[in-house]
Amino acid sequence: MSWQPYSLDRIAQKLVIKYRDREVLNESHKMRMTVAYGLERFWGEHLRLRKEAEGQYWKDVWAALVNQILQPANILLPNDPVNIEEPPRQETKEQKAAREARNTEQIKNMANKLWEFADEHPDDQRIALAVLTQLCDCLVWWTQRYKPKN
Amino acid sequence: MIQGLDQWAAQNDMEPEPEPTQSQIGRIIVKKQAEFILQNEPPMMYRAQVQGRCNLQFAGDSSNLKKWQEEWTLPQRDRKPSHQYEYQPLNSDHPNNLIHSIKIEFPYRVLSNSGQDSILRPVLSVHGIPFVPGSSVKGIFRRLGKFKPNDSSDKKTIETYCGIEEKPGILRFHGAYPIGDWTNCMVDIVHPQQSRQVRNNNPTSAFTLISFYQPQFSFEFSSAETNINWQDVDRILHEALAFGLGGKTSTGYGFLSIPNYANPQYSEQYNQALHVSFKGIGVCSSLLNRQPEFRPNMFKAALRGHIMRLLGGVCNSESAVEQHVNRLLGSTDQEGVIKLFWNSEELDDTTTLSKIYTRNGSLHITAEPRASRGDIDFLGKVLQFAYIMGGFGKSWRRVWHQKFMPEYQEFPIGCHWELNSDWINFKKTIEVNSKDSLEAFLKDLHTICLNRLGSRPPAPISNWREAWNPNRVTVYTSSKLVTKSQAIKLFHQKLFKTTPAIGGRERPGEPRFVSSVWHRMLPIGDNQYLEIVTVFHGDRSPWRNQFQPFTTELKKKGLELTWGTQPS
Repeated sequence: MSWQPYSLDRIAQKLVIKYRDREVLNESHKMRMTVAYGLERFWGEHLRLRKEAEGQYWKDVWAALVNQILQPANILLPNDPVNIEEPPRQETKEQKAAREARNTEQIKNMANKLWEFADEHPDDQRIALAVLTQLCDCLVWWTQRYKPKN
Repeated sequence: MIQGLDQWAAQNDMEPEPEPTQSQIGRIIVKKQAEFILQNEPPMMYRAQVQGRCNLQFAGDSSNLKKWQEEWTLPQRDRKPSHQYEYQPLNSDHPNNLIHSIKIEFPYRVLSNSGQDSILRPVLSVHGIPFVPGSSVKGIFRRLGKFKPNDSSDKKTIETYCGIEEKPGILRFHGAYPIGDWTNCMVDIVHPQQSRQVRNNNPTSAFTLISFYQPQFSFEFSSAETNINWQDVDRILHEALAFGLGGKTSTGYGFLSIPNYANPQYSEQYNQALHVSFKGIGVCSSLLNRQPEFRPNMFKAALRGHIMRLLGGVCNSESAVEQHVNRLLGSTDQEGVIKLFWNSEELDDTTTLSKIYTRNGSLHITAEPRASRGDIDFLGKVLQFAYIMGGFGKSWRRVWHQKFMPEYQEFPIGCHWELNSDWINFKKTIEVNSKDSLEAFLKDLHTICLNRLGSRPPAPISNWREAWNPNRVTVYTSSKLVTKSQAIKLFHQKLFKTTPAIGGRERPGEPRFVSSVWHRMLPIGDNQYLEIVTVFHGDRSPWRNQFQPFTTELKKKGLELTWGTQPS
């Protein structure tokens, strides 16, 4: 067994540099706050803000947590892609209800997977949250240094 | 508490563990209730904040919000929150009697945003009791200090309280806690309509937020110094609150009493401001629980919308118009230079179940020192424009049907505003009491707008539905004063009421478009009115070929072209 650097600090630095010119770095502080509400809430923010650059930032942070940090540690957090269907220019009431049901189904499936993960692997869930907290702390740290001044 | 610790302490001749305090017991209750909730499903705040999972922010579906509020406040059988803050008057037997508490009641709403979560909500203290942080209270003290002359004793007192770079302050600011049933009418609503009403017909969303409704706060202070003059702290707090507490003060939130510029006692500030007293009747806004609430923020909304229209009619740069409006009235990035305050004088026979408001009140407008006199004069003109051409609040594009079409009984439509006083301090007021004087007023206003922000050559923002430009809008007025509305029945004719540009909908019961026609009965006195119909026709598509028939009918009713060009 050899030493494994998970490089939270470097990953956070890369993310902050990537987004520093897109006026979304205030989200770092919100991420640090939201992590207190758990994995589902954190994961869901990229969907709520999906139409904005902020949403992309949240998505990238989540992807970094799942793929770059936890996966090498063999903690396999669920990460289903959710493609929210936006309303077309015109739709009937039935079409609207069906579209919303499809969206809800995808979101609920993924949310349930996250809570099931917490039930089945409580230690892994706690590690995931602790690591996410640390990652957010790093994001805030770099944000405070790299955020462009007006 | 560790099991067996008491016995161990007794054996070792030590103090046993103290009885749990009230606060600790409270925490245990909260924890148990939280565990109960957790056993069933994730609490609302722990869920993804998206439609279908938990949608606190959007007002369309309030079931999530209701559940979240219950999880937060843990209501008892009488619906009051489980936890309330206890007011501790000075010199009581309470162990915290070193804390000086000042009880203050606010007559309207107070918004204090925590800056967290998807919903605007206050900062929460232990047991979920919302509060205004001490840092915010200190902030309002410092703000007051900025307005005091350098050599005044109050400035020095505030510096002593709050501290300066060389010396720490002597006052501790513990924050302000709501006392009593703080959950009453907390769910507030904002429904931004500017885009739909001025620019396009796209649907808009209403958002929920949490604000205190007519709260009673206990402001708490303490000090290590023994010679603090608490009466002075009390006086300065009241003075500091005259500028408003928390957010949205420019729309009437957070005021303890009327601000100085609206109070004739402060003659210097009062004389620089504009004042007018109105009497209005109309359709009342309602909260999510359908409870009606007269909301003073509608005055600022009306002014903002009209400035957008007026400047969008002479300047074809959207960003220039937005920038100008934001400088005047503020945005999320900056405070506006103009302040306005609506002071309701009485509530007539409005009952809690009525959907109608009847209000007397005064509107006061002032400007910060960094604004120019021209800015405040311009705002005065826009206020006159709003009053003359339509009204304020919900359904402002229509006349008050109960007055002008009493036989119509289906549901309340429109509003009616009258002047209760002169326009005090308004510069170069043109008294509008006839077709000719309205024409002069509108010409004057258009010239002011051109001088203020006109493009060269002047051009409107072509894709805005209500850009105020003579080539896109036509104002018709009754040639003589009338006692009854001549045009009102046109809006109820089958053909016109299903024309999107007139009736706003194609099928009854389906509101889909904002009407492109404004209708106003401007009171002139002696039960006489100038009837004004404003028609926007820049985009003919919502007119469905009914433009010519409608204007022909208007002319038949005796209404004549007053401003704009006769469209072909």
